Amino acid sequence: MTSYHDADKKYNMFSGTAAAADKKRTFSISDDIVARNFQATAGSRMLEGYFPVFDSAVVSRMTAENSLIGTTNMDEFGFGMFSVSGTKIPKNPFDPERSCGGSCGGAACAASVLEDHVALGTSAGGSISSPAAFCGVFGLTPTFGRVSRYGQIDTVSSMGPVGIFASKSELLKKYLPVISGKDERDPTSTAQPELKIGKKKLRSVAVPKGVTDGVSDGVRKAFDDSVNMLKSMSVNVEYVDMPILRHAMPAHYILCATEATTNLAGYCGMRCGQRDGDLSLPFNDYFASFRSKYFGAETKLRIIIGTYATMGENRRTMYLRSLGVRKLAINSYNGIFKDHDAVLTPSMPYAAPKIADAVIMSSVDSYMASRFAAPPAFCGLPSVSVPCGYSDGLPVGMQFTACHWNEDVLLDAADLWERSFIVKAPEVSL
Amino acid sequence: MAGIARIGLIGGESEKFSGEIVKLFELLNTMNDAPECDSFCFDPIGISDALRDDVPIVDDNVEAMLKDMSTHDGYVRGPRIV
Repeated sequence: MTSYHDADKKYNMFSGTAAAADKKRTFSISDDIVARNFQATAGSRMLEGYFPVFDSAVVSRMTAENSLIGTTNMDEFGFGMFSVSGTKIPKNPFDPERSCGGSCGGAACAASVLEDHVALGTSAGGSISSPAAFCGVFGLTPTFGRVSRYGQIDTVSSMGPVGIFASKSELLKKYLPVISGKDERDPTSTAQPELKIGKKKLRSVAVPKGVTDGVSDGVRKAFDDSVNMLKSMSVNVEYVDMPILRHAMPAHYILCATEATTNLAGYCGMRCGQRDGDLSLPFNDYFASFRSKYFGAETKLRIIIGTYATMGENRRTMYLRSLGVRKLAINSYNGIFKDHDAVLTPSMPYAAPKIADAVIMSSVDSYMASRFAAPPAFCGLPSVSVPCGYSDGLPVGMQFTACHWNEDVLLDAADLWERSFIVKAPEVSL
Repeated sequence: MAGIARIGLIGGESEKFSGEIVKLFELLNTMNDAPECDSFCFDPIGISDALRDDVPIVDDNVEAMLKDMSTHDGYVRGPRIV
């Protein structure tokens, strides 16, 4: 079995590790999920030195039968699609010069490299599907509210459930019930219906028209081949119009930015993380000095846009309008789910880019890489990314999205697909 | 805007953001022709209140939390408010 310490030296997936695992099954958490004795920074210098004094709900539920071996590297506060904006950059197990995807790149890397390992991560806009696709593993994003967010460092309040990365679909099925369930400490979790598994089968998928426009040749071929393979497996495939997706991306960006602006205001150098400021400064100057020094560029940009989107008339034309677009997008998905079990898209528009290229990519280009993965997260819908092909040796993923609370059909889709498609593991030499 | 957001730009961030903002607003401006919706909700799913008995509890270890903070007489030190 691959040693997680050795794997970390080669792939840089962990931001912190336990000395040893005391149980056979191991799991990890992304750096924005808290656990006692593990530093939790959400990939930010702002929180360096923060050691939580409590376990998050998911950690409490997992540790009964599994050993927590570490926290995994991610983009700062989840802002990014390539895991290059955090404090450490994980390396793709299929090519260490390439990105693991983001924001939970370290988690996907751990699931890919470590045998039977379960990596938990959070996703407010493709942070599970993107790295799952780039690292060639399964990535399940549950319905928003299915998993308690107690103990999750909150950046975006209305998106971002905890999900699962694993190299086998059976692990998704095994661990989703473990981490799911109502928790009175998180009101978003208390309205959920019972999780049912093994009741629903994937029979019909809808593919948005033009979904492969602008994707790489490798992704287009893998996706088209996969659609044909699904048809051969007696899954009905129909192409549908989803014009609302054009507005889902900017609306998602605005909601993420505005909610983050509010949530990140709490980091002012007093309660947790960095506290090396000059206490003689007036409060606003003290507050601004920490934000200027310790937030990364992408986080600052989001805070600036979030502030702008809630000022004066912009509150109506940007923020409230984005909430309206979300409702229309949910209605659009629900209309499709009357006739289909899932919406199928590629997970990412291209295979993993080189880290050197991802670092200099513009913020907008990076964000637009999430154009398939962000809309479901925006609507709180569950999705699963499964490996569906290889382009020049790099994994390509496709994403099934189901209606709220219907993780069951996604688990069936992943299981069905895994029985027909040969998933390749990376060649790991330590 | 950075000033209003209490953000200072350092190390070339101002120049970097100048280019980024233009592209970003091209994206955000597509919202101008977004369809209107007569209602909205703040969460994508229905939320129900989680109520507990009105009994004071301390569910965090206060001593442990204060251990790493700059404190005075059990209070967290902060900058001047006025």
